[in-house]
Amino acid sequence: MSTRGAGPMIERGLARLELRRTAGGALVLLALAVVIVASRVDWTPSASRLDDDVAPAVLRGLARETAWTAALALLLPAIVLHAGGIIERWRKGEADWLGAAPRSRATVLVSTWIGCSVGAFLLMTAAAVAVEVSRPDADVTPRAYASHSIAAFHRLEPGAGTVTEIASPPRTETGGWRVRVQIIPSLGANPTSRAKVVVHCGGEVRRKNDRVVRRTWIEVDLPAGDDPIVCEVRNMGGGVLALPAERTFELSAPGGSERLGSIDVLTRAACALAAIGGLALGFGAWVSGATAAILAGLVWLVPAIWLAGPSWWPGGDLGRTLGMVGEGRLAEPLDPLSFATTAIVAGAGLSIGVLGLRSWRFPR
Amino acid sequence: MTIAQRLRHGLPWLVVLVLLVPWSGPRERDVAHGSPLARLLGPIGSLAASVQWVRFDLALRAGRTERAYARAESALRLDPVSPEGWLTLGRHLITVRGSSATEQYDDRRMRWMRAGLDLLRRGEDVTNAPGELALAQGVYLAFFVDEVLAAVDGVDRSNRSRYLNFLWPGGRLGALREAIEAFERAEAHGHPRAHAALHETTERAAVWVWDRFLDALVPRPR
Repeated sequence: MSTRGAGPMIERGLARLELRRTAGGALVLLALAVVIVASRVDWTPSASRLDDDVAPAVLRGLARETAWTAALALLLPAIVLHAGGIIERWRKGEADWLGAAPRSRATVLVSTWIGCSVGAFLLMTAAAVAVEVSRPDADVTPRAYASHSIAAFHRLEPGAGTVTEIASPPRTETGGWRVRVQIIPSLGANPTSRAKVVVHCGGEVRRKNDRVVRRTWIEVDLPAGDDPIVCEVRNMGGGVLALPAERTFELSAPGGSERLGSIDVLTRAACALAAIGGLALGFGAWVSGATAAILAGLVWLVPAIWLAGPSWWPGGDLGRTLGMVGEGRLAEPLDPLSFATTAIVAGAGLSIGVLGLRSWRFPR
Repeated sequence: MTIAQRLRHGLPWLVVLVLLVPWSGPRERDVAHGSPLARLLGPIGSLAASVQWVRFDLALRAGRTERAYARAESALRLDPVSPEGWLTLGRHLITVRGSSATEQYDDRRMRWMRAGLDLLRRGEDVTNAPGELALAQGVYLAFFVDEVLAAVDGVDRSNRSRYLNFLWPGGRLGALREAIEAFERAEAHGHPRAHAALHETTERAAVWVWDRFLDALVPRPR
């Protein structure tokens, strides 16, 4: 098959065809059906109903996270497998009419990728609807905007304290901003203790103390403004406490309904699927569909794990987002840079596919 | 497109729409008798349950108790026959959540202990070592529950009896009576240590009743 010359980069007919195939595939629909069933089940553990310390929002978040985990575990592999096998299916019989029309290989691949990505987005949206329809209650919940880690795990002996300065994003006048500190009981002396958190910000001082029995987050309100935040944590009890190194302090503000958590997961999953789908589609021009899907998954997963889930990688912070949804909170807003990296990763995959489509048929 | 072709195309979506009808399985029964997934997994279920117990422990360390209990309950659904899982969760609810270090208030401690004991009672019906679970219930009742009630009983207050009854139906005697019943069940299931435990607890209950009788006859000086 020879390359064709100029023409539109996107052919809507091809995109629509691939959208129907992605959204209507038997394997994918079966996965969606299981997701819908999983969303209807009440996953609240009976022991948690006794726990007054667990807010209802946390239990709702846990149910939401469970349903989304099932959705991602089923739909992501199904869609990526479908994307990886597209060129293999073309070479089994559709190459004749695909290659006959005056369009370039790039046009065919880009249009197919767009159709596949939109189909994946629609499936993720259906999963989000299934998850939210089964949850009638939803309240306003805070959204995380920034986190601050300390250099190393820090022990607080009885009576000891530590002071940390935290940089803050601009805090709007509407208020509702909070800083929360993660504190854990550590070995030595009593099994529990009492922690006091004092926040100095813009001339104001806010205090809160709480008993620490297990890993605990103590939240303190912040005044509006751009002033830096100085946070003092002191051990007021007889046990030993500690501040973990990762995400020790977190800044949050009222973020809206808990249902926005599903939107956060949906957008990140859609970016990840667009990127991995592009890779799988491209690799499928060189290897079998299943191999292409596995390779694409690895190429996406390795940087995501190695770089500890960066927000700029497509779907890189999906795990952290799911974890925060499970706590009944909202994750940081989606990094706009992730759209650019999605396009770059998918573009790289499609370029590999264009090179591999020198022949529309299997070598004889 | 013919009608038959349209129906074939639309049938998968129809199935999806039907599944939007509210559905939830009887979860208590699932935990007690094993979910359909557990029966399907067979011996792999116990391996999957082991993974869930590790994740239960990790969630507890992360302070996410609700997540830990969800994983524990899924582990029990996957492998309801093994007694270790029931004992692990029961022990956590009674000795950790019901401890004075975790809960400051006696009524909340009793609530956790009751939850743990009820869990062990449910497990007794499905596990392959019911004697172990019955013995564990007796031990927790005779020592952990009785310890809390004894501390309350030792405080001189006007509404002591009513408060003890509020904390546990029947107060200390009620708890010891439940312990005796549990040890009797353990003995019936053939547990080797049940008889000695039953004998000792019956003696303790008799001593407690005798002490109360003497107190009623000759009140102790305040």
